[in-house]
Parts: sequence; C-alpha cells; structure tokens
Amino acid sequence: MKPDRLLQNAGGIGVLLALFGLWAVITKFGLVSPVFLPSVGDTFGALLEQAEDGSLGRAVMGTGGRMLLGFGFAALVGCSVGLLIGLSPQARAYIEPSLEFLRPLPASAVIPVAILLLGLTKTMIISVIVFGSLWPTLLATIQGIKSVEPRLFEMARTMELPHWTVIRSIILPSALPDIFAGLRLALTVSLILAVVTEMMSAEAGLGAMILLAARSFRSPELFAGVLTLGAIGFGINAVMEFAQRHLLRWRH
Amino acid sequence: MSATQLSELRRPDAVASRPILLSIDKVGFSVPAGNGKLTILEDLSLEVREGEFVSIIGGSGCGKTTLLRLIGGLNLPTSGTITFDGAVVDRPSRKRAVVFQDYTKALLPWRTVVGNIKLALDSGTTPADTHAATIDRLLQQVGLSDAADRFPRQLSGGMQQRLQIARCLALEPKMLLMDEPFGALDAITRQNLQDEVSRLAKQTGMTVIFITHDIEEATYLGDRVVAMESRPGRISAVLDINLPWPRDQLTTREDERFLRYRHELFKYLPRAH
Amino acid sequence: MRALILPCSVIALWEVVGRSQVVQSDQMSRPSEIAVAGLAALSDGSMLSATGQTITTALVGLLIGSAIGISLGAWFGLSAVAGRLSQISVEVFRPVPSVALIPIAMLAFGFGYGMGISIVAFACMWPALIITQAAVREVPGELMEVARVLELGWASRLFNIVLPDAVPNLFTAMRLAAGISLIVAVTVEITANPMGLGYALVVAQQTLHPDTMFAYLIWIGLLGWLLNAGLLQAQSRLFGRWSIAA
Repeated sequence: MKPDRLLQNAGGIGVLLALFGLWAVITKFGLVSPVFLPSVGDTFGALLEQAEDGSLGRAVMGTGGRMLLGFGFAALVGCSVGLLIGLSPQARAYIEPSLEFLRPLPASAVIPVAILLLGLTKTMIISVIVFGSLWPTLLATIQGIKSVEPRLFEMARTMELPHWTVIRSIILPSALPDIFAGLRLALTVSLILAVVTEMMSAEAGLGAMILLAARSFRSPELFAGVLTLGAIGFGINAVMEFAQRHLLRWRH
Repeated sequence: MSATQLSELRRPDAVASRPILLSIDKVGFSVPAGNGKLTILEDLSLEVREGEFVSIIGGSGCGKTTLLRLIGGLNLPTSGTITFDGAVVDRPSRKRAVVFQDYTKALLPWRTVVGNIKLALDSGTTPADTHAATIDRLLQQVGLSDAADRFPRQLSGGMQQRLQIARCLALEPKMLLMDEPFGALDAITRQNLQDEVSRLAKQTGMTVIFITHDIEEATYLGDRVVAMESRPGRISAVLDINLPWPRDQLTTREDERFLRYRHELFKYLPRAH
Repeated sequence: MRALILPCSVIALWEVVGRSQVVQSDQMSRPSEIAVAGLAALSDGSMLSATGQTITTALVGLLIGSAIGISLGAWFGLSAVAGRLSQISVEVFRPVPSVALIPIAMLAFGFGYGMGISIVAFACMWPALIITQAAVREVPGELMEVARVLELGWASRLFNIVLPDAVPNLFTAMRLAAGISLIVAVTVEITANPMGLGYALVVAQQTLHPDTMFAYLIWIGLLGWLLNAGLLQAQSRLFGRWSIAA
C-alpha cells in the first residue's frame, strides 16, 4: 500500500477510535444514564459472556441462517423469473407496471398478513424474508435485461449466434451490474426483515435478544447485540463490495 | 484466392472478370408513416463482383445505411430482391460481416480484446485448438498484438474499430459491410485505418462495401464509387475508379485522375441551401 | 391499457376464490369486503389520523436525518481531508440496520414520536450523506476553474457554483430518503411503536380483522407509490431542463 493510502487509512481508523473514546468518556463521567448507554467495558464484557455461553452463536446462526435461506431462495426465483420476464416485451408490458407499483411498498407491511395466515412460525419468517427480497431482485433483473445495448443484439444476429450464446455471453454479463445492485439491496432487506420478524415472534435470534435485553433494562447486552448486528451488516457489505469489484472489474 | 489471382486483382481492370457475388435487383424500402408510407430507398440496382471494393457515398438521410442493413440481412426490402452467392438474402449471415459505425456499442465491454474475437470463433466451425493461433494472426493483421489483454474501455477509438474489424475477419466472411467505420475518428487515425483496410482487403481478396460521406475517402479506397441521392434514396451515378494499387495517401491523392474523379463526384453531393 | 389487465384479473380472481370460501374468513378477505372496511376506516377518521401520525414521524425524521446527512456530506465532499478521514467511520456505522436501534430508542424515548423520528432520522441520514458527498465532489473541474478565475470566496463558490450544480443530485438524495423515511416509519410502528399506520395494521391482524388489515396494507402501498410518483414529477418539473440524476 502506498504511504499516502496508509496515512489515509490510519487517519480514518484514528477518527473511529476517537469516537469510541468519546463513548468511553461520556459513560465515564456519567453524562448519560447507564440504563441508556452502557460503558464500553460493560458492553464488551457482555459480548464476551454471550460468546462464551453460546447464546451469541445461537442468535447469529438463527438470524443469519434465516436471512440467507430467504435471500437465497428469493435470489434464485427473482433472477430466473426476471430473466423470463425481461426477455419478453409482451410479458413486460403486462407485468412491469404492477411491479413498479409494488416497489415502494414497505416489505415489513406484509408481516401482519403473514402472521395472520401462517402464525408466529419459522415458515412465516422465511416467507416474509423471501417476499421482501424477491422484488428488488426481480425488478433489478428485468431492468438489467432491458438495458442491454440493442446494437449487441444486431451484432449477434450478424454473427448468427445461437440463442443460448446470446443469453449466456451477452445478456447476462450485460445485466450483471444491475442484477448485482438488486441483490445487494435484497440482502439488506432480508437482514432487516429477519430482525423485525424475530422481534415480533420471539424466535431465537439477535433481534429477539436485543428486544428482550431492552425490556429487562440490560443495556450492556442490548448494545452488545446491536454491535453484533452492525458487524454482520458490515461484513455483508464488505463481502458484496469485494465480489462487485472482482466481477465488475471491466467497468473500472 | 491464389497469389496469382491476388496479384491480378491489383490491375485496375482485373475485377471486371470476377464472378458476381452480390446482386441488388430493383430494391426498394419503405416504412409506414402517418397516413401513408415513407419511401427510403427506391428502385436500386447494383452488381458487386468478387474481390471488389465498392464505396457508397451520399448525404445524410439518403438511405445508404439502410441499404447496408438490407445487404446485411438486418432488414428486408419491401420490394425487389438481393441475391448473395446465389441465394436470396433474407437474414443476416456470417458470410456478410457487418462493421458497425458505433464501434463501442458493438463490442463486449466485459471481455478483453482476445475475448471479443473468441466470441466470433467459438460460434464458428473451426476446431478449438486453432483459435489461439487465429487470434494471434488477426491481432497482428490489425496491429493490436500488444493490447491483447486490455478491455475495450482501455482502447482508443481507432483501436476499438480495429478490434471490431478483427472480430469480423474471424468470421471468415466473403464480404465486409462497413458503415462509415472511420467517421468518429481523427484524421490521422482515419488515414492509417484506410490504408490498413485497403491492404487487408486486397491481400485477402475480400469483397468490401464501404459507406462514407467523404468523397475523397470513397475514391481513395474504391474500385468503384456509387453515389446516392436522397429522398427517396436512389443511385445517381456509378464511377469506375481506375487508379493503381496499392494506393498511397500522398501520391494517389495528388494523381490527376483522383482529382478528376473527385471533381466529378462533387456534383452528386447535396449542397447547403 | 395492458398495464391494468394483471391487477384487475388478480382482484377478480381473489373475489371469486373468496366467495367460494376456500380459506377461513378470519384469515382472509375478499376485495369487496376490503373496500368496505377501507371506506369505513376512512370515514370514521381512524385511517386519516393514523396516516397523519405516520407522515409526521416520517417527515420530521426525514428533515432531521437529511439535514445532518446533507451537511456532513457537503463537508466531506468539499474537504478532501475530512472526506478521507471520515470514510472508515461511515463505512462502520452505515451498515447498522436501523431496526436494530429500535430497542435503544425504546429505552431512550419510550413509545411515541421520539422513537419513530429518531430511527427514521438515522436511516435517512446515510443516503443523504453519501449522495451529497458524491454530488459535491463531482462538481465539474471546469466550474471550479471558473470560480478560481473569477476569484470567488468560498461562500460565494458554495452558493453560486457548488450548490446549483449539486442541487439536482440533492433532490435525488431527498427523493430516495423520503421513500426510506416512509418505509422505516411504518416498520418501526409494526415492530414496536403503538401509533400510526403500522400499528393499525398490527391491531387489525391481532383482532382478526383481515378486511381492515388489507385495507391498511393497500393504503400504505398507495401512499408509498404516490409519494414516489409525486416526487419524480416534481423533479422533472423543477430540473427538467437539466439532466436528471437517476
């Protein structure tokens, strides 16, 4: 890494540490009640405890597992159905306006509907996550296929490329940036829905854990859980960013 | 084509004895517009022989691109027929390779130079183990050997156009259809590419149909120049270009015959009113 | 129009299936029943007051969040040093799911507007920050050159060159943040906060009134769509002459 970048990163980390330092100072001087803001030490202590007694692991697996299951299913269905719809201008004419209408709908709004139909079960949670992750993926796939450069289709015709080659070598790579953006959004939504459904149904997971901690006024555990969720969010972001840079390196 | 045949091609009158490859017979093209139709091309007839380099010139809107697309099979004529190599043209074919004007849009940005050429080879009938050698040869022919692993985004306009040409050559076509291929390039690059295309065509005996709005480019490159008029598009003149091969940017353009052809063709270009 | 065929057939099918009583009536409702329940909720004022609560939460949260986000974004965009130093911290705090802060807000504010507004503000802050930062940084070099040649001071530069150039992008940031504000407000109400449209939705579900529940669901969808469409219209009216940043 060039010395310039090294300095930048060091400075950035320094700022971050300074913010943590601020946290420590505030709690040290009791500026905020420990009920709302636990000290840094207490928080990491709670985190360590949870890790040791396995509750952290179980919670992460619970939330993470459901999130990935729902997302994975939605991604598969969304991409394949999106491909089918995107390739047919007729299908698009009938279906796209309805999809656009559904786009701004808060995915969390279907949770009560799902609870009514499926009860407070794991099935309900997965269904909600799938529902929420499906639309961004579907819409993004359709968008990606719609925006393939038309000249490339003509080029393919003059080269007499078979249909399958056109899909594999032209349409999919061209649509990949849009599809990837949709997948990232879907992943974010699936994390949010996993947490929310846990809070409402008390299935084992990070969402349920932090809500319980709040209700029992155990703020160190609450903050420990929030930190963990933040770390998960951060981790997902980092992985997707890395994947994006690699897959879409031809753009840079 | 054999070496003897190729060297014969360099004689200005040699092409006249080659067989006819492309036959455009009373072709017309119109599109529905408003209450009736808009006629873009009307009653066009032209014959192109094997190994010929035919330049087509005309003002914008005269339908020369449409004509190219009809020859390429991307559109179908609304009247008349186009025959290529004995068969009626009703769809695109690898034998009639098209070099598009907007080269950036006709290349795959996510593949390297090699990858773009591979697209043409993979869909063909040549055995896979010959592909690497073919790609090397083509890159050398168009002068892109040093840029083999670059992405189109990293290439200059001229290099991108050369890549498109290389990819078309990979199709082993019988005819190259070029739609104002050098229009978006600077003058120096344009001259270099003119000479490269000219050299490639005469070396391989390729039949070329070359669209341009530049009279001098048309005359410099062609065995014949077809001048088109607009609204509706029609052929107004066909000029045989009797200039020696190989052409040279300096001497050919100063040749008295070149200047006479240029003078003649000038009449057929639309004036600004 | 073909666009309406799909939704109309779905509604019609739903009505038919509903009348054939395949699913229990305390879990599902027919479109006709939903329409009736919706009109009832509208006319007795309950839907409108809930809407008012949600919109207030979303709006105030949006204003606070975007004010903070735009200010920080402008600072990080204009000052390369600030931008570089803040990058890691932003990357660390941004991915925290806003819903994870619900329990904290619950402790700090109890139930009510405070909870909703604070979470909406947190959620809206980040897109505002990121887009503003990018928009300010991307003021074309030539414009900045013009500013230098004219020897404009930093305030003049800010108001005459940077802001007008960045404003269409700022509007896009606001449009996205506005959509987020509504979604987050409803989500917080569904999860924990006993007020607004989200809570009405949950109450209908818990009291086994699927007709009212679906009515609220459709109403929420309509609001979201109207908000988005309205803002898009406004954007093209105001900045139609300029290029729209999608």
